[in-house]
Amino acid sequence: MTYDYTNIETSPNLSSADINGVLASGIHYDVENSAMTDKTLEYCTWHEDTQLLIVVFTGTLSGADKALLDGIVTDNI
Amino acid sequence: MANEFHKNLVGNDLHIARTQVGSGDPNGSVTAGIIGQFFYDTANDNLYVAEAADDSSWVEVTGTGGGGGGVFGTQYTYVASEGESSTTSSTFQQKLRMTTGSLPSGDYRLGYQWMQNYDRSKSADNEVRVEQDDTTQLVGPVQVIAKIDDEEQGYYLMGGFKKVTLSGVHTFDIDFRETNNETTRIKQARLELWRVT
Repeated sequence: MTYDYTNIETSPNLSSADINGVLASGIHYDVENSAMTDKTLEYCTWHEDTQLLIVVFTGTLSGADKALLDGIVTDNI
Repeated sequence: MANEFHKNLVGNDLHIARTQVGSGDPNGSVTAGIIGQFFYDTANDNLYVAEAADDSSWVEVTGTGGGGGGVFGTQYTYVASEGESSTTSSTFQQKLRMTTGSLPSGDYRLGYQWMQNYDRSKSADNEVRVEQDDTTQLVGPVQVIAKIDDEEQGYYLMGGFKKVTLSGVHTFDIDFRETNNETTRIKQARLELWRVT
């Protein structure tokens, strides 16, 4: 399932790793370390030209998980 | 469609002949009344001459001048996506697409350019490619590795050109992806195309 976030004007932190290649911050990291029950995050893509961020999960998120995802996205833009 | 009389400069010769005017390639749709009749394609700015009095013998006039004659530089198409894009996807994501009009058969010059990011903390795990019609990879995948004296993160300018033989409608993409669960960035992606022969 693809979740769209519009009017994202600045580059969001999608995924950042430390020098050893271990995830250290970003949407991927925060989902992994969240209370979300579904953590099957496939990828994120953002385009400055359209100011659109898409977050793609394998399945469909519950309402509670979607709310948690909304907060994670907000924290990383 | 109109029947008109026009002066036509073909090569070094000036012809005054019956000329039809219409849109698109006349082969299969416009019947020439006489051999030597002209047809001007307003959609593509091309001139055709009939080698037989039928609808299947129209030949595009290319002229004899330098640089490929009358068709050089025609069919010019340009698209750009200047802003930054980023992804964590290991499947190629489309950064930019160019869709051509219905091209006359010929050789074309495809130009391509983009800014591809590097990150010294990462291995070469970002890839960019140029693809035709979602099937044929023309360039890449291109990976970049930071030089030892580079800043921690930055961009390299990548680009080039390629001769492609085309006819009809085609698409060209610049795609990018990440192969190590981190973030790949690309910006200032541009594609251009024009006819050579």
